[in-house]
Amino acid sequence: MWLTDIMMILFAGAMTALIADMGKNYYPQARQEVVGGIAFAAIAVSLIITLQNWYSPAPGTVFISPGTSAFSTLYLVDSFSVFIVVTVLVVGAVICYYSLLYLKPDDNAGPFFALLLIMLLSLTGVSSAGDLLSLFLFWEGMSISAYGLVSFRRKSTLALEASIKYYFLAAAGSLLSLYGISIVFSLTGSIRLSSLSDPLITGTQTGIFGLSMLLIGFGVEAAIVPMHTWLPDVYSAAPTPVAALVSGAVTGTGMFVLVKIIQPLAMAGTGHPGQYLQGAQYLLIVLSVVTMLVGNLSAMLQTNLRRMLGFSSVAQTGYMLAALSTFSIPGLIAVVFNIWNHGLLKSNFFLLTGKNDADYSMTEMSSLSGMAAKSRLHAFMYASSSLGMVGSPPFGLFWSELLIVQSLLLAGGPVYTILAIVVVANIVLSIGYYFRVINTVVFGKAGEVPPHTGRIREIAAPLSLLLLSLLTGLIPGLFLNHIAAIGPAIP
Amino acid sequence: MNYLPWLLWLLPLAAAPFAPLVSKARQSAADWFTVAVAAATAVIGVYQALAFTAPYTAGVSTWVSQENLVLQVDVDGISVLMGAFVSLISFFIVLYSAGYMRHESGKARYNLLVLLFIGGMLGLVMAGNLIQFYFFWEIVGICSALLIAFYFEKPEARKGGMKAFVMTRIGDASLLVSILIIFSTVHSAAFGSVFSAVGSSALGGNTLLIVGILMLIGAMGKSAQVPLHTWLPDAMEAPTPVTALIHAATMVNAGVYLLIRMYPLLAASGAVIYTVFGIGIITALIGGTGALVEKDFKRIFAYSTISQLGFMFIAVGIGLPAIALYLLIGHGFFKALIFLSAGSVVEAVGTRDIEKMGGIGRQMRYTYSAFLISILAMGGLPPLVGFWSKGAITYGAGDFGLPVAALVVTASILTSLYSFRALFRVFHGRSRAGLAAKESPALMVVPMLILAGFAALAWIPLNQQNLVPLYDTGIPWLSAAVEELAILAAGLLVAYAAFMWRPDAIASALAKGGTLAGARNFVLGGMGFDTVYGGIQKKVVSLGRATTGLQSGSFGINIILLALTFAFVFILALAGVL
Repeated sequence: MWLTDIMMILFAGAMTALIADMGKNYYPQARQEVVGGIAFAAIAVSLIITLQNWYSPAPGTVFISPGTSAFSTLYLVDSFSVFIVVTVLVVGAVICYYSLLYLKPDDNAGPFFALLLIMLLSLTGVSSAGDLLSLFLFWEGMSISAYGLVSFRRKSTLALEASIKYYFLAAAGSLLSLYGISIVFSLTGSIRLSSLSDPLITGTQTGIFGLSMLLIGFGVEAAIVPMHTWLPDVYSAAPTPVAALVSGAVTGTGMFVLVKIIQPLAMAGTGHPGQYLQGAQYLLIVLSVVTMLVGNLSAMLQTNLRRMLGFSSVAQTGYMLAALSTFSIPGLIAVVFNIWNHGLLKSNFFLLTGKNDADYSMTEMSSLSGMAAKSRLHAFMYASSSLGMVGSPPFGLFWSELLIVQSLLLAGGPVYTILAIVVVANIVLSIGYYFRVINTVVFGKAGEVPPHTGRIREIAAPLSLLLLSLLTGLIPGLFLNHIAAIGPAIP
Repeated sequence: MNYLPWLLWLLPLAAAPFAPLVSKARQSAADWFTVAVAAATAVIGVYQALAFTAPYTAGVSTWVSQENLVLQVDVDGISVLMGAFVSLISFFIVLYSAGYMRHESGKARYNLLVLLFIGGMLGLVMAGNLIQFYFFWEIVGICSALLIAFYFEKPEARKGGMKAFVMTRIGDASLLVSILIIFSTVHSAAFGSVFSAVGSSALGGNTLLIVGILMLIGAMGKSAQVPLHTWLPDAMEAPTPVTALIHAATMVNAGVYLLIRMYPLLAASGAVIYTVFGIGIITALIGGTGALVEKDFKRIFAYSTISQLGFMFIAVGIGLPAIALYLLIGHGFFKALIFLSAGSVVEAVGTRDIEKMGGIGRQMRYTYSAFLISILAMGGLPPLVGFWSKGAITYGAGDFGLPVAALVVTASILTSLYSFRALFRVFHGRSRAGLAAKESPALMVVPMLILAGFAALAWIPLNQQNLVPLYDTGIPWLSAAVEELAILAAGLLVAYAAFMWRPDAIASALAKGGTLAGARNFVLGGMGFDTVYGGIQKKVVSLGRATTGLQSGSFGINIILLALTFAFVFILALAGVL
């Protein structure tokens, strides 16, 4: 089974990286190259294996091991999960490459790359888990490696503060989700994701309460307002590659867990959701509107580029929640596509800020300004990324935001039509702060201390993500076809 | 398969990324590269129009297959005519800008964006379905905003770019929703299937009304209709060739083009089409008033563009989409020419304030004649290109009763009045500051003269072509000519009296203060629209301050927020909502 293979490869890569790091005295100058090279090779091999299975995920295939008891581990391989695994590994590979150049010889390269690989392993596991228990275990693996990576610079108090905040909120979120899992188990006697569409869940008040607990518990990591407060701190304090990874892969996967929870309901597709299920829909609608408004309005006032990007991610979560609330397959397809598009562009944006992360003030927009005069390539990339982030063509986010709005309109009814208009109005709102990036960072006057711009080797990392986003925008079918090939039902 | 409809927009789009590369190799080569690409595009565009036989659509189906979306071109009379017009005028303006921008830096960016824009605009014109149309609609908006901010050292230029982007995007958002409503109800975005669904149960009644109004708001944003017009005067910070190309001849017309294209849908809902009419009249009057009062040479004609776009809306509103198309093309020629001659003047005298100009007609004879022809064409002098549409609009408005017709005629007189005011102030009278203006180089004069030829004579091919029946035989052209002449003469007389015969009378009245000066300052200040938008902006910022307050370093507050979410769900469950 290729899925377990790549997890093994990633795990073996992490261990090899740690062992290789022990021999650092033999290659003191090339420490991060050796260790990072091993990590990169592991990710690359995993990505190649995944891409080989990209065309034949045999939709709906389920892999069970060992045995078939209530607690057997279950993987769910369908076009959604394969696509998210691809997203995670693509972003991970680019970030791993960037980290090679980013880390200094005296940084602890071994733990860094080992944690990176464990994180990718966990993200793969979260995306493909078929039961709530393995989902939870991989989820914790992901969170723990994230805490470690965020506070990688141990001397930075801001990073430590962000990491602790992240830890407390995510741990509390885990508790809520465990509560939800126990409710589901006690009602249905099963922890399989497919049991979520059981009438015992969808048709009872307790069941829907448990479902809601799952949604808001896992929603902490996707930064649903008001549980979003960790995100801007983490984005602005974490080292650049980690911020790129959290923004591109972790929040995206957090959102994908919500997709996985709703997927069985959408697939069961009764057409008319019962009274209780409709309550859950309204809960999601309220959370989505609040999330996108708080994200966009707060982003408006930020002077720090990375903090602003953080709030913009919160707004994106709001858009995706709106599509999720339809409990429909088009909505889920839109969300999965948006995770890909948003992940690419956001990671690219963070990598673009490059080594300007030693100090909070270095990512102030005013200190980054003057790109047009300093480096044409940077100016072009900042401008393109900003335009891409507001959903302008020809970048991929255009299509996924279009699909989100379309899924709302397809859901029909006045509530969803209004929600569609709210989403579109919020996208307009986001221009307010993204165009400011163009006006200050790109076109602004250069400050006294010019920002680092990095060599072409470093720029290659964000550029590859940006070009991938451009490709998605020009030929969306290339990627969308894989997502839309969603299998019929979950056993 | 005929590749021309594809090549027309793919060529400039594909060539665009090479413009910076060429300019890296050699600065001067980049201009000629752009000119060559624009020339090739113009050849394709014109050839396509000449060789046009019958309408058809062609598509590549693998674009977004599961969404039932095909990358397609729609080749019919309207798109072919527009393709020829856009490519031709782009070529002349690119040629002019090779001369105008000869001393500027930042050519790489300029050429890249101009080529992207031309490709985007032609893609928009040829698009075969609404989603594709919207895709290019946004691309031209981006190019426009970034070109407005071209002189980015100037804060006004940066602000103008941002304003244009935000305001047109408000319209764009509305258009997107309307397109997606159509797409989700009809399950196809191709123009043909949309039109055949109009009036059916899927696309009728209230849905049709909502779709039509949202689409209209989209067109208003792009085509600078009141109240979404305030970005256009501020867009005058762009280099003048860009103003001529984007903010006079092509992009601002995209909204009108949308209305013309979607006319079968809009006409099916009476309320929508009357709204188009009403907005057109209001815009034509407000734009004309602004143009009459402004002192900045380029801003005068920005307001004039707003007002002329209003006329196009009027034409659509009175059920004459073909006349709107005629005016769109004619306006493209004469307004581009106005801006090219304005650029020539501004470069020669070094200011845009018309109160500091005067009497330069003798030094700049070519520019003067070009400007004169263009304002006469705009004023509707028979038989120049403006007359055929203006005459039809005045005549058509007559069917709507005297008050409506009077408003349209007033707007027409305003057109003539502000045109002659600019002419007298800039080219006639005595020189105000001892200006020594010199005629512009040939590279700028030749495109101007060619465009002047178009403004004067384009009516001959336009009336005879068989792509779109623009020439309306039902109109008594002789009496229309008398009408238009009278309107033109009225404006000329008032302008002559006020600005040539007694120029001091107005000045002294304004100096005294009172109502007249107050009215002038009100109009110069943007007629209150910007104040309202500024107020909204302040509200949004203060809301943002409130939401940022959620962010806290305190452990307690963060956990309380989480607990509140839990409590919210719990209360919902207790209340029986869940």
